Amino acid sequence: MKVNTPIHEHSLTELSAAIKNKTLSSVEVTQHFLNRIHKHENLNAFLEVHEQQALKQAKWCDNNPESSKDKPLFGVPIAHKDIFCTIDGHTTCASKVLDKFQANYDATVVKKCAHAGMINLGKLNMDEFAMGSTNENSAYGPVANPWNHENCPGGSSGGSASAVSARLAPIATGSDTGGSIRQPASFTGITGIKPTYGRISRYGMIAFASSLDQAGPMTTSVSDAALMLNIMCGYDHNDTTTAQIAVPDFTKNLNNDIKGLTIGIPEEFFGDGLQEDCKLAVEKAIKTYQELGAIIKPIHLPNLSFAIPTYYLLAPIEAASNLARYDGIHYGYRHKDAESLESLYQLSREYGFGKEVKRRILIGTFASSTEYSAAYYKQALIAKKIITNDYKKAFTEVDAILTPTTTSTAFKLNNKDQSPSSLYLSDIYTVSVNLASLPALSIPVGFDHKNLPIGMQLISNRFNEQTILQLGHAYQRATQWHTMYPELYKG
Amino acid sequence: MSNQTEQDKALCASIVSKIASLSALQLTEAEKSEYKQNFEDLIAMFHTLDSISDHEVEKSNLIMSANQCREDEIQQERPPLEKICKHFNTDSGLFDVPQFIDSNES
Repeated sequence: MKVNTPIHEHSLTELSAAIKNKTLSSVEVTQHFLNRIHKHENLNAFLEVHEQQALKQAKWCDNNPESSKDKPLFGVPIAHKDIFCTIDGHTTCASKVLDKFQANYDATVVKKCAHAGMINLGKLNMDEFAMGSTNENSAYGPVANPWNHENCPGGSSGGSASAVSARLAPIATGSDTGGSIRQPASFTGITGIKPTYGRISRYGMIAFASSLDQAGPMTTSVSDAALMLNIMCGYDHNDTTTAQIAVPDFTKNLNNDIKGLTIGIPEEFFGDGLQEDCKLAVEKAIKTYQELGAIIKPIHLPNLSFAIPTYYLLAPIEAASNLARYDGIHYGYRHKDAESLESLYQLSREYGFGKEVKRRILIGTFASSTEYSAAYYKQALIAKKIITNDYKKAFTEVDAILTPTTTSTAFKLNNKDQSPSSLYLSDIYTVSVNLASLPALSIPVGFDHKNLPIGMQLISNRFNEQTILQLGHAYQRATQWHTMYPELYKG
Repeated sequence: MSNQTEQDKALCASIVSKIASLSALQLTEAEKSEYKQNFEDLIAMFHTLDSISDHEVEKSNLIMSANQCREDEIQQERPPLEKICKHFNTDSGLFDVPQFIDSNES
């Protein structure tokens, strides 16, 4: 452990080792992060802080050191995106429709983190039902980007990204349906990985689009992300879409030489829509990989332009179905003025859901209706297959694909000029990865002229997270971008 | 959006109220007008998929239409309810269920 380094600058491995060898107590570490959460409440990153419960758990860890065996992150704090059900506190998915909802079980991800000895600091803000890319769609107010409070942290895992970026938590969980881990990681200068669909259980993760949703960790480094994947991944009999394949030790090959690995650069990701600063930073990162011995190869993903319409058909169709259960009867918000069962449903949903959620329910209901499903849904499924085939072909030639994570750095908050469809277009670099069920990692590679972070995306073949982790770690050993966090949050 | 047709515009004008009621949403007039505009933009975007042909996908991966799926199998006639459940009361047409006695009252 580095001497005289503030607690919030330590890696997960360092914190865990310090607690195990009693250089630090779990209470000390937990209290440190709780103090930072309270000090920086203005970020609005947390929806709920589980202070008493967290300190109680930390105290238990300190009093029972013998229990640390087989618990890799014993006494280390974590914060969960409010999309994960937790017995402690509330689970709202940042929606009024789930206001004060108390889950009666822990999501598998939450349970696995607890089994690893981790302490839950609380629940993080997000776009309502994970629908959005600015975190302005939360029913509990927007989250600020720690690098500049006038900018958004991205979404939908904006609270998670903001908390990790400002070092209010050493790690946070997120979920990614169309880029919701990678885009906010890029906007806030942190590391985020969306594993292969099926790697991590979705049990207890409130559903948005079930065929695309995937949980993942948001951390300050690739090595921490690898460690978290060891904890979070694996088959779960409660989620039949989890893969029944062995989970490797993701930390094992991190330090392997990347010499000879082939990285594909798809021309389609470097077109006109890409902000110049982002382009330059990613090109510089490509040069770093060349210097490290990787082989750079231009490739094509010719059907990338179909990714946005495909995603914005398939995801809302699944969302419309998944959100049908919020009717004022089963969960949360129930409108008081309803005079009939029908009006109870309508009024509860009308006042319970936010604007973006309603928009996506309407799109989904429209595109899956009998009259129009052949024209839209069927076409979208064919496009999804074509996009997947493009990636399959690419991975016969390369080990990984490198792209910018986003077309620009973080958007301004409260940007009235941006229409929903223009916001949707900004997801172009991330959504195709979900459509093809692939794993992808976002890591920081520099800053733009306004000092806002820039992210790079590394994509690999299904169930081959190790390659992108190895490449990401090699880059972070050669550069310092991932160690940087905003001045305001130091000390 | 370039692909927007007059037919799409007409569709959007009529569709929002119908879809809202199918979605169990009671929209205000302002919302209807806003979503109508969004629908116009989005439908134009969705039309970019029109150029895709299912010939581009391997035959084994062709996606069946929803109607084909529904016609897949005709279900055999179900046995009478009284055979499924011995508690079915053929006179009342209801299931006889055990009565719960409140422990505080006994």
